[in-house]
Parts: sequence; C-alpha cells; structure tokens
Amino acid sequence: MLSGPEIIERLRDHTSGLAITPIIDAPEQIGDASVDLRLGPDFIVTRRATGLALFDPARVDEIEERIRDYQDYVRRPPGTAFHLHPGEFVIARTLEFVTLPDTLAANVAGRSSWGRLGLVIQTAPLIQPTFRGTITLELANLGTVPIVLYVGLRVAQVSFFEVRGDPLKRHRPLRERQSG
Amino acid sequence: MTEAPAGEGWPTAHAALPPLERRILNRARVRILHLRQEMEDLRQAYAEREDLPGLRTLVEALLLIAADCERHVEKHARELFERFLDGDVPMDEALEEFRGRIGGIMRPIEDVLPPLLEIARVPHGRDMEALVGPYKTLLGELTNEIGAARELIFEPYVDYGFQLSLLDDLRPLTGSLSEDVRRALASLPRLTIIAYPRQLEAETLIHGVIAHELAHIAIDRQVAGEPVARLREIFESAVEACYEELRVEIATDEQLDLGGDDEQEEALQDAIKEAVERLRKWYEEFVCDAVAVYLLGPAFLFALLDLDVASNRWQQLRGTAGVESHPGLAWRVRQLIPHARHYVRDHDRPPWQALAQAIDTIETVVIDLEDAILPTERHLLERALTQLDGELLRRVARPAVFEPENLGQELDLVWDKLCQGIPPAERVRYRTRPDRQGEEGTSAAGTAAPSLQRVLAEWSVPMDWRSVMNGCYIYWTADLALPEVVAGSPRALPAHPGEVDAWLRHNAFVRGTIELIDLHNRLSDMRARMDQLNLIP
Repeated sequence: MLSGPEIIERLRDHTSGLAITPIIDAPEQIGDASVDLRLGPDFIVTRRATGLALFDPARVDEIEERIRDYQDYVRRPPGTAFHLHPGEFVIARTLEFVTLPDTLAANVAGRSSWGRLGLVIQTAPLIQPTFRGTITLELANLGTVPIVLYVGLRVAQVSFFEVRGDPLKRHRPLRERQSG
Repeated sequence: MTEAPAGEGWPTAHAALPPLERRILNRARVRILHLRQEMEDLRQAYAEREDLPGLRTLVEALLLIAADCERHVEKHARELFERFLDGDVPMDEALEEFRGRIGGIMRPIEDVLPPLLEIARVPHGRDMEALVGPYKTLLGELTNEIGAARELIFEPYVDYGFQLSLLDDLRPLTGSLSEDVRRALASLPRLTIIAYPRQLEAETLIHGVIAHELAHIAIDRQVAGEPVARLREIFESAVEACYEELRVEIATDEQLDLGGDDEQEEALQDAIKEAVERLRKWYEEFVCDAVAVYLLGPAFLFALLDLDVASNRWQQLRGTAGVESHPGLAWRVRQLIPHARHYVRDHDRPPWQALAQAIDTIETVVIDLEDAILPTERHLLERALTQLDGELLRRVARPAVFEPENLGQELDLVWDKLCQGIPPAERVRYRTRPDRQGEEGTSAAGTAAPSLQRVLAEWSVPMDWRSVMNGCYIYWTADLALPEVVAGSPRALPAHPGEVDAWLRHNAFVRGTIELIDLHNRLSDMRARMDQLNLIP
C-alpha cells in the first residue's frame, strides 16, 4: 500500500500516470495512506418498483432496460443537500476524476464516520490498473433515520497498491478511453 | 342564476354584465387561469431542480404576473358595477371603459408572455449544465455585476441568440401591473437568456460561439462606455467618408437617376439608408466576433468556423433575403485571424506549433473566398474594420478579457494532461517533472524543494476554463483526439473512420473537465462550510 508521502510524490509527478483531480483541500484530503474523495453532483435514484419488474440475471438483456424504468437522474449543485432515506439506494459518483497507471490498483471504501450512521458507500471497492474516470458510489442507508448528504462532502477514501509483474491484458492506447 | 341588465339600467339584484362584457370577463379569467395552472405545474416540476435557478425565477415572475392580472380584471369588473350604481358614468361609457381596460391587460399578456412561456417550459439539457457556471461568471465580469443576483438561462432553440432581462421583456406589461408586483419583479434576480441550437447540445466546443452573444450584451448595455462610443464613431466616420461613392454606386445598382425627380431621390435615399443599416449590423457582428476572441481566445474562431462551415455559408450575397443580419463566414473568419494570432507564441513546443498551424490552415482556406457585395460597401466596412485595433476591442472586453498571457501560462499544462488522458482541471503547484525550467509552480533545478506542508497547503489552483476550451480545440485540430487507425483497415468514407465518435467523445471530455473546474471553484469558495459539515458525526 502506498503511504501518504508516496501518494503525494506520484500525484506531483505528472508522468507517473496517477492522478486525482481536482483535490480541493489537500491538507484535509490526503491522509497517511489514503486520499479522501468527495461526493459528486450527480445521482441516479432508484424508485420503488410498482409493477412486476424484477432483475433476473437469466434474462440479462432485459436488465439494463428495466433498470432505467425505475431510475431517475438527479443533479444537485455543490453544497446542497441530498436526503437519503432508510432503505433507499442511490448511485452517485465521486467528484474527483481518477487515473491509475498499469502498475497501481486501488481500493475505495466509505469513511468510517459515515458507516457508523448506517451509510454504505461502496459495494464494489476494487479499482483495476489503468482505470480512468470518476468512481461510482453505491449509496445505501441501512440505518433507521434519514441521512442528509451534501454535494462536496468527503464521503469515501481511496488507497493504492502496487501491482507486481506484467499486466495480463494489453490495454488500448490512453486517448481511446477518454471520457467526461 | 344571474339577470342581464334591463333597459338602460343595471339589474337591482343578482347583478350581471351584459352578454358581451360577460364573455370578455370570462374569457380573460379562463386564460389567466390556464397561465396560473401551467406555472403552478412548472413550479412543482422544478421544485427539486436546484440546477435551474433561472427558470425557477422566471416561473415565479410569471405566477406573480398572472395573479396580479387576475386581481386587476376582477377589480375592473367590480368598479364598473360600482361606478354605474354611484351614477358616476352612463352605462355605455362604463362598458366601453371596461372593454378597454380588460383589453389593455390581456393584449400585452398575449403578446409578451408566449415567448417567455416557451422558455419556461423547456429547460436546457444535461450537457449544457457544465457551461452555466463559467458563462455566468464571465457574464457577471463583463457586465460589471459581480455579486449582483443574475441568473443565466440556456434556452434550447434553433440558433444562438440572447435576451437581456426579464424586466425589459415585460415592459409592455408593467403599466398594467400593481406597484407591489412591479417591486417584487424588480427584486427578482435579473435574467439573461442565451439561446443555443438544440441539436448541438452535446457539442461543447461549438458553444464557444456564446462568447459572441456575450459581446453583444456588453455593447448593448454600453457598460464599456467610451470604447463603445469610439466603436460607433469609427463606423459613422467611414459612412461619411464613403457616402458620395456609395450614393453613386447604389444609384447605378438600383437603376436610379442621380439628380432625378423627388420620387427617384426618395427611392435612392431609402436604398442608401437600407444599405447603411445593413452595413451597421454587419459592422457590429464583426466587432462582436473580435471581442469574442478576446473573451475566449482562438477557440472562438474555431467554433465559429465549425458552426457554419457545413452549411456552406462562405459568401454573403447582397440582398439575399433572410440572411442579411450577418456577413458571410469567409469575411468573418478573415477578420478574426489577426486577432486570433495575438494568442500565438513563437515556441517550438507541440501545442504552440499546433495553434499556429490551425490558424494558418484556416487562412489558406478562406483567403480567396469573396463576398458578393458592392465594392463600396466592402470599401466602407473595410475602412471601419481597419481602425478596430486590438487595444480598443480589448477595452470592450476588459473586465473579462482572456489575456494571451493566461493561455501562455496554461496551454502547455493543458496539453500535457490531454496527452495522458487526464482532465486538465487544475494546475498542481510544485510539480516534479524535471524538464520544465523556471515555469510557475514547478521545482526548477537549483531551487530549494518546498516543504511537504507548503506543498499540501498550496496544492493546486483551478485551471482557467478558457484555457481548457482552447487547449482541447487545438488538440482536436492536431488530430490527436482521434483513435489510431489500424494499418490496412478498410474505410467506408474518404475520412478517418472514427472521427465522428471521437468528436463527440472529445466534447464530453471537455465538458467533464469544465464541470470539474467549476466544482473546484465553487467548493473552494465554500470550503469553511464544507469543513464544518465534514466534522459530522
């Protein structure tokens, strides 16, 4: 696992392939072995199904279409509140755009302070080498009271690991994977 | 059940208006009810859309107006009845006054509100969201209203355009509104509505053309004072200098006799006036193009070209109906090239070479394209345009000017990040790349390394979004955003096979980057508040 100073060194060296951008408050965000990530402005809210919809992996073609039937896109400006009610599930993303070189993997986890309130931040925490993009967060309120989240809050943290040996697959050139 | 008035008098019980006036009253009330209901629906629909402050303001304003109009219509109906009973006026006179008053309320509603309703009904799409903050800031700087409440509405429409403020649009209505409603409207944030082509929503780079609309706003509001007066003076003196020549040429072109009878002379004067007015419009368009370059940089030139190039609007044919408001694209682009060159630097590094080459390429294309207008019209405009020096135009754009030095500081950084697929959203200070000597924020050889504490405290600053627009456009013109083509693979068209997809992907990348810059700026401003929130629990 990379230490805080090692992370800083790689972030400053922009030939390293590691980038987290923007880091708005570096002294607060960069820790001893991780970097805090903020809640971005976009949310996909899953509404409670009222029909006979179900997500059956055996009918995989239908899943994406059906998911969209029960999802709403919501956008909140920075600093504004988003209410997550008990039992509610929301897809969000980090504010920061992250790029990894082929020699680093990463792990994303919720900050423990939020976990104690019943907030689950991430259900698929491993990020593969050469990833680039904002990190998807799967937010769920497992507690019994609504949780108010604010766009821009530090809700997650990412830590980095060296990947030994050669990569398994040959990756496409970087510029093919640019996204906004 | 009500009774109709009998004979010359009003009914003594269950008063009712005569059939015509009753019809007028009912139709007016129903129309106002439709308006109120629609606004209530929109208010609900936008209740959670904190990203649409402009439209929410507009809906609130329209609700205020609808409620006030309803009050006025009902008040006039009551007054009519009371005045007649008091014996103040005969019935015929009272009814005529009533019809006039209701019409006076309803006509402006029907004239003024439909376009505003159209705007209120259709919010901008998700892809425009990233540009709201940056353009709002630019607009605020340009109109010297930093800190003043001003909302920007992006309106999906057929072409680019602008409207200045809600109150300006509502002026025909204000005479019929209550004083307290007028005050309430005046206290709402001021609105600027920028229209953009709906079908180009996702083409963020093309939206650089909005800088031209901002230039119009700056000139219309005369915020720049003396420079705008000077711009007008330049045109008027060119007209004066060329007037006789223009008169002869137009007379020949229109087959009118110089020194002919009054009718001929009047027709000639009208034709000259029409030509001068058209040239005045074109001159303002040229000026706004040039000011737009100083607001945005060479990206405006590229965007203008990409906006119109496919529809082959190179030439401006004199007298072509419907397209007279703007000069031809070739002339506009030719005029812009010298201004865009102010941003070029004599560096051998790739982005600077790419910028120079992008402009050179455009110049070779447009240099020979001509506009089919009269020689004196061209002469008159060129006489005026040659006096438009960069300094005068920069003075118009000054509060928000994008200095060539800004691009000079940031283009290399933008370029480096683009080459690595990293959004160039911030300038990380104290970078450790060793091959940049003496560049701001880098640790050049020989200088003492900053402490870790200082590195963290001064970590980064947001990039200027206009550097991103320029850097990304130049990167595109250098074909670097295109995917690699496998050698020997078949092509369906004589073009790069992935160019269309790559353009859309690149625009999405630009959009995402500008959004990150805007978030960085806004969250930095509210850092203290966010820190408090982060302490919880």
